[in-house]
Amino acid sequence: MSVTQPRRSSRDWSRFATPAWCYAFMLPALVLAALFTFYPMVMSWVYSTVDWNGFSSDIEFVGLANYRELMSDGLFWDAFGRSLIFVLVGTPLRVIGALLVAIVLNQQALKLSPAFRTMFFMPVVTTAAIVGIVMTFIFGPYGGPLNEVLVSLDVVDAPVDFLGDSDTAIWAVLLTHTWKNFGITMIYWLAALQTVPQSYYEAAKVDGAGAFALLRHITLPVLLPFAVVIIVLTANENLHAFALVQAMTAGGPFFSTQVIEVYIYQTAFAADATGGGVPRLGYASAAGCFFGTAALVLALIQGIAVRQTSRMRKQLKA
Amino acid sequence: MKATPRSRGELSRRRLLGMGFGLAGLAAAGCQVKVDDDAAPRPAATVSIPDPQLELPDGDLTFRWVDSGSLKALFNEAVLEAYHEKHPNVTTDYTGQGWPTVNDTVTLGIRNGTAPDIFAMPQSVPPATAVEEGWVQPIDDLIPDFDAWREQWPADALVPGEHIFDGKVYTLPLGSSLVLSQLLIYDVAVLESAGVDPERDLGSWDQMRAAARTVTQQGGGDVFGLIIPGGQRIGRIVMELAVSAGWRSSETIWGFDFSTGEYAFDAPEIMAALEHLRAFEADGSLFPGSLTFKNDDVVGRMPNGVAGMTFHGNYYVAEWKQGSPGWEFGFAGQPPQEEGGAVFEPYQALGNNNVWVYADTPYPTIAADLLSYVGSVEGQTQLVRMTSGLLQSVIPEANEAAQGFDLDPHGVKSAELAREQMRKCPIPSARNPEVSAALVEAQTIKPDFNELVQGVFTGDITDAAKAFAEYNATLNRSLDESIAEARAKGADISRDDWVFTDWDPTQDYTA
Amino acid sequence: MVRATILSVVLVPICLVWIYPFIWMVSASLKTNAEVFSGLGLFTDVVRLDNYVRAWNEANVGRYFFNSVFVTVFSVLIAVTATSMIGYVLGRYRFRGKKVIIGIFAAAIFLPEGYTIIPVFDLISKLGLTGSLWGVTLAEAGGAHVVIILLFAGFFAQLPGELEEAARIDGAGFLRIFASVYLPLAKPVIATAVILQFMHSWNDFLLPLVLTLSQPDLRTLAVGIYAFKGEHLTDWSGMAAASTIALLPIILLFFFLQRYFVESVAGAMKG
Repeated sequence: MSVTQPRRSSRDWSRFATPAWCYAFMLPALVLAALFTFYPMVMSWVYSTVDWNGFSSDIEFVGLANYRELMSDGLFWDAFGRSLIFVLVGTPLRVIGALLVAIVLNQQALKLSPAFRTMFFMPVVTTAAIVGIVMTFIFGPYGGPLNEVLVSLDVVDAPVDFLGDSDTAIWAVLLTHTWKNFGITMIYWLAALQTVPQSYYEAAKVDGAGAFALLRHITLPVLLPFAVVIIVLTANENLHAFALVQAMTAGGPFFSTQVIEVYIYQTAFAADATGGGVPRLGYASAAGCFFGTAALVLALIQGIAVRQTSRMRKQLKA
Repeated sequence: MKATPRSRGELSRRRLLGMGFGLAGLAAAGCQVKVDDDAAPRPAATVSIPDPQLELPDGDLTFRWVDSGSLKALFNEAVLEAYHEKHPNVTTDYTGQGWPTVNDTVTLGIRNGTAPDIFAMPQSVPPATAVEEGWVQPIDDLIPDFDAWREQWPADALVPGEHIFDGKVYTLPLGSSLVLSQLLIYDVAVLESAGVDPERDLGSWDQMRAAARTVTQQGGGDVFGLIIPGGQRIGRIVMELAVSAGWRSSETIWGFDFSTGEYAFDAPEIMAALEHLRAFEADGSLFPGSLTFKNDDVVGRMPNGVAGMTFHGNYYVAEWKQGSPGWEFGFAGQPPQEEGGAVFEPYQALGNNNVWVYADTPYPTIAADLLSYVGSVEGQTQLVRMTSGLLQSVIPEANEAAQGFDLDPHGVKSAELAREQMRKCPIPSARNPEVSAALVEAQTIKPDFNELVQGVFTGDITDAAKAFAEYNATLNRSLDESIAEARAKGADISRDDWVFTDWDPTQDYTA
Repeated sequence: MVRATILSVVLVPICLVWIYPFIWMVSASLKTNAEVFSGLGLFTDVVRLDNYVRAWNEANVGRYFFNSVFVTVFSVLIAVTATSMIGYVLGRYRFRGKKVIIGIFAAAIFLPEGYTIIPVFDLISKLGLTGSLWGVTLAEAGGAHVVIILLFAGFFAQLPGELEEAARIDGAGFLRIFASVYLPLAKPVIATAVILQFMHSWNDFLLPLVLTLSQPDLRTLAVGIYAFKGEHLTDWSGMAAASTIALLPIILLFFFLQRYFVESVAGAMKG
């Protein structure tokens, strides 16, 4: 599993390490992870090989049949694509935006900073169902403020039904999702910024460095290792976007906002109101497992690529 | 509706809270501050629980009832509250938070033996499966003096394969299915100011369309003719419209024509209904955003006077009356396609809101005591009364007895319209109970009809007729497959069990 | 100083737009349902506190508030203890199998969690914890917590080894070095971990709902909020009122904790 390349740590504490203590210290977290993350994960792999509605005792082993069916399921691939849009567009948007806000709010001179941070954080905890309602007004064609701005700026002639148009709905949802979770990424960045010793800034200021130079030569280099983690975490959140999408559009109109988690949920649970029919937990699990694996593979490829480029750059410098 | 934890109206807390917030400066801001609900009072609870005929447990215990809520919650909440008053050691907990909650909680509760004592069957679970798995128990042996109790019900009310399995009664319908699920609901003031008389000007599809146009024109961009919950119901609205044009379908198996035993989503009525709804959009009289509105969006907007009309069931009448007492609304049945035509809505007289007793309930005698009351003529009378007649009972005596009370005119009208327009249609399981075995095998079909219609409106589907025909073919094929699978497992059924050549949708079907 | 003032003047309107939906929610909690749907306006003629009365009584907010506090406090304690411990050894020590462990946790980020409610539910049942607040607490504290572990590991890795050596000379053992030398330095990460775990435990819906099926008295606030959602109609103003009551603690917690970690960190980092 591990792809970390062997790399010698410059600081070596291992001479005092007592392996027994190390293992003992890992135990609680490992138990929690094993019980509540890995066991359910393994079970969902098991479910992915059966034909099962999730409740009856009628469970039929079907091997890879669910996966085979998935390969030709257009709705699944469309949802797959939408989740990739969420990751590829939503991640940079949020990571860069949150970094800028975090840098501004990290300034000690800004006395109101705690209040501003709290405000940027507030959407994170606002109930998704209620956000869904507010957004129907904000994006709505009936007196919605967004449309009023766009019309008054002559960007559009007539109000656009952003949530009712299958071309724009996904962007409206993506923007809302970015807005709502912006505060989490901001916290990550703020935490990372704490690791830049204030003394560096003071020293640099004594040397007469400007704000931009400070940012470029002190802040960003220190943040770089965190950037990878923050990008991964944000990408992961975008990958698993669910509650807000379900509350805002439930995947509609005509599947245009059906991201992968919504697809999985609707396959696993929701009964069809017109045609009847039982849910397909096995098939939904297969979709989840396949998508998760694909995402992992993509992330690994990306990670290797980044590593290669940075190594090449280093070699060029040397 | 809401879930109702037992404690209600604790005055001390109420006052405390009001004072606290009042002092918080809101009053100082010059606004009028209201602490008491100024909504119309709910109908007073008139339920009185009879003495038990069974020995009930005497320790402190919690009895749980979970269903989807809505109108029936008005009755169920009252019954459970009264039950707690009658038996103070029995704390009652009613949850009526919609189907998703039922679907999740009941199936999971069954897994570890903590399912509610009485529940509504999750939509995803075919009742036959629940019986076969032993999750529910028959009520014949539970309810004291069962035969006498059952005498209160019409002989054909309980149907094998629906309520009766292996000769035993498992469930009873707490309400009649004689309820129109699509009414034309209108804002009286909006129509009046546009010069539209609902009695005179809504007599046909074209008249209604013209009325919507008039309202929109008079509204000057603020008021629109028609608002619909397109995100949740647009397919349903098209199907209901098609029924008003004579489409042969019933709301238990949408689009299924019993006279041929085939699905009929490729029928001309469906295309006509689609075009009719699109015409409102083309006229500009559809409230902007309707395509993605959910029920709540529409129900919340209507009392603001921003739309003339909407299509929906009578579910919201009680809420509107209670929550927006100042708003005047009315409703009519769906207009026929042509002026002077009649609308017939086929329905399966199976009743609604079936309740089931959990097989492993620790308190079977309480379940029996409760069910023997709610399933009695007296209990059913109170059901009709507490829902202002918006729900009707399967027991005719109960509906008649409820007339004696001062029922809400909306409830009376809703019941009248239903009797006028609705006709019984065939019930395959009444002829061959084994057909329910096929339902167990039914696969979910995606996209469903609602999604297809939405796709037509968004422009993602350009050839609606073709898409509907494909959907229809898939449904027909899927039914055949389900039948084949059920046969392979030993059920004695065939497609003929769904064919009733003598069915006439304009008449009550009698076997 | 002048720059900071100008910045504040620019930020205030941005922040107000940013939190407008939140403000709208609070205003919705003072309206009737029909007024909620009248648009984006904030003010009505009548301020309706009856929504709060209804939230308090019908959503049983008083009782559920206690449950939420219990579940949240203990799950935060459990999660922060477990993650700081593993983060400490992963960040500061090398031992056999470390890379495997890190790899497994990293993969956990991506592997699907889609359909885990059934296994988790079965697990809590098998542990005999259904219908108890401890079951909910444990389930909320459970999970891989990759983010928090990474934060702890990253933070501990950067601290100087001299602290440990000095403590060792004073005769401190492994446990004491962790608990009284390194852990107190990790306040910023602890604060972050508390906020993240608090948010999760406080807001989670499905898990507490299904784990307390048999004991409605044990439901948490987040479950209570959704009690306003119904099959055909949602009591939005009641829901907004209950949400407002439920969200205030998180916002206050965030406001005070973030200030705390921002101001106290710099010193700890210098050494």
